[in-house]
Amino acid sequence: MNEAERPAALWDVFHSNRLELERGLSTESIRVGLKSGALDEDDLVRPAGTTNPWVRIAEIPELMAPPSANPAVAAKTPPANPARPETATAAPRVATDYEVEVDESLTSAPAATPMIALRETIVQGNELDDITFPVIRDDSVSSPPVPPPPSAASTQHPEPPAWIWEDDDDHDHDEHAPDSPAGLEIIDDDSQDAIASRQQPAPSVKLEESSQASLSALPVVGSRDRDQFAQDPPDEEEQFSLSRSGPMTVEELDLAPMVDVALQLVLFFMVTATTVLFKSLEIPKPSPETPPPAVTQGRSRTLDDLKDDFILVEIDSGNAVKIDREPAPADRDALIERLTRAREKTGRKAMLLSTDYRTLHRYAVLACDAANEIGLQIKVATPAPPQPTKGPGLLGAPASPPANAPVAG
Amino acid sequence: MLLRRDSNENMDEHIDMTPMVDVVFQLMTFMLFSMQMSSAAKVDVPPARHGVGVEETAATFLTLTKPAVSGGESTLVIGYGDGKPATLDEAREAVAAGVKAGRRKVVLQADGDVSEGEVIKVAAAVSKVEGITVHVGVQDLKGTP
Repeated sequence: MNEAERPAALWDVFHSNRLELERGLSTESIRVGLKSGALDEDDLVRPAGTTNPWVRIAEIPELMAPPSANPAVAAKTPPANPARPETATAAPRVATDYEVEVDESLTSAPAATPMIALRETIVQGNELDDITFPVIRDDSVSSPPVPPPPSAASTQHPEPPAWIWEDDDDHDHDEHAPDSPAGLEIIDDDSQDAIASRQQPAPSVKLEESSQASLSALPVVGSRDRDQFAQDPPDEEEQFSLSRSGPMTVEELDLAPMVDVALQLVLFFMVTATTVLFKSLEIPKPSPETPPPAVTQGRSRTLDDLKDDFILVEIDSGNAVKIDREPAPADRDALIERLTRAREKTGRKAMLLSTDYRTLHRYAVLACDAANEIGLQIKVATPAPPQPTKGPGLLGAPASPPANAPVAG
Repeated sequence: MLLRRDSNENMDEHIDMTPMVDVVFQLMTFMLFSMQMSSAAKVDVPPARHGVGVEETAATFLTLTKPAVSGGESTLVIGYGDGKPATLDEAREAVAAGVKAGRRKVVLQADGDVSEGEVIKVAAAVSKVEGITVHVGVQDLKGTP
């Protein structure tokens, strides 16, 4: 069996230059396309209806062979795709057709050098695909038509096919071929160049065996991919495209930055709140009046009088602590223990704090804090300023040794 | 073979402001803590276990810093330790102004090394203003004095 008689294999062709897929091309059609420039060696092919990896046309010697000189073989209609059984259920409409129409003026042209324009149409039911092709409805042909030999075409007038387009853009084709009742376009050499310049994405495979041939061909229909997608976008599973899609739009609001800011604000206010709070210890207001000297002279007696009502806590200029005239350690826990014992022994519920003028403030606060620990009332005796020897200080206090006089606050 | 890449691929030119905001807030927090530490270094108020919190806006603050040398003079400042030295009369006027503004508490932030006689002297001076309560500033108990 020679090559012309062997059943033509079908190929799916991916045009690398325009990222379009064309399905069901025969080997001979690919050869013709390579020769005419419609296809390139870098275009990708794989057997039709399979998931085999794509390979370059140049890597398949069978496709790189020169096209057959017999136009009948070149235009031989391949059978329906056997790898896609679903097409059998839609046999009346689903077909892969190559239709060849030869102009009457070519009756005198040599049979070996006709120019035949092929138009391949693939319809697989109502399935949407990324490639849109015109639908040819020819109910009279249930099997793939066999193109008549050129001699037969020269003697018989073929019936105009009933062209039915799936889309509604028929007016475009009417503009191309206003005089053709069948919507056919007469392709001559000039129009071929024009078609090539427009780079119609639809499969248009032409055989140029003779420059003087002038044949009527099937209408040239551009791909309507964009219009088809804009009106009725196909499902993602059915859409096949190697072109990169745009970034997905994330409509969900990202809450992470807001949470960050909120936590930072909380931390900020917590820190701010701690700064405005000052810990303090309330003390009785001392008498603003300066004690008279007579009171100073009766100091010891006054303290003795108050001893029955108050627990006397005295702190001298050396920060030594005495409780009821008995030395006590300057320690918080020890003071609490001694004050607790004194309260339980005598039933006194108040403390009289008598300090020297030069007693450090921290020891006075220590005594007051210990009294607060056990719930004693606090009275503070105002220390008498020491006698001036070198002059007054900043607050008017002399720097001389003190001569204290207690005044209960 | 050339598989063309979409030249109109959208580039994400949005600038993420979140790290900048985070850094700004961290700096603000650091500055707040730094200010608190520097203020505490000026006046080392004595520790106490039973201190109560006084809000900043509810009291008039007076500060008594420790003398530069032992046995030297203390400095009275109106406020939290920053400012020029004040006299007893100025402190009393400040307290009187605070009472008019609704601040009836006087917090005397006295350093632990200030003599108790000076603390009582200032407290007695401001006590001439009617309707106030006198407090001495303390800090959280950390150890023995």
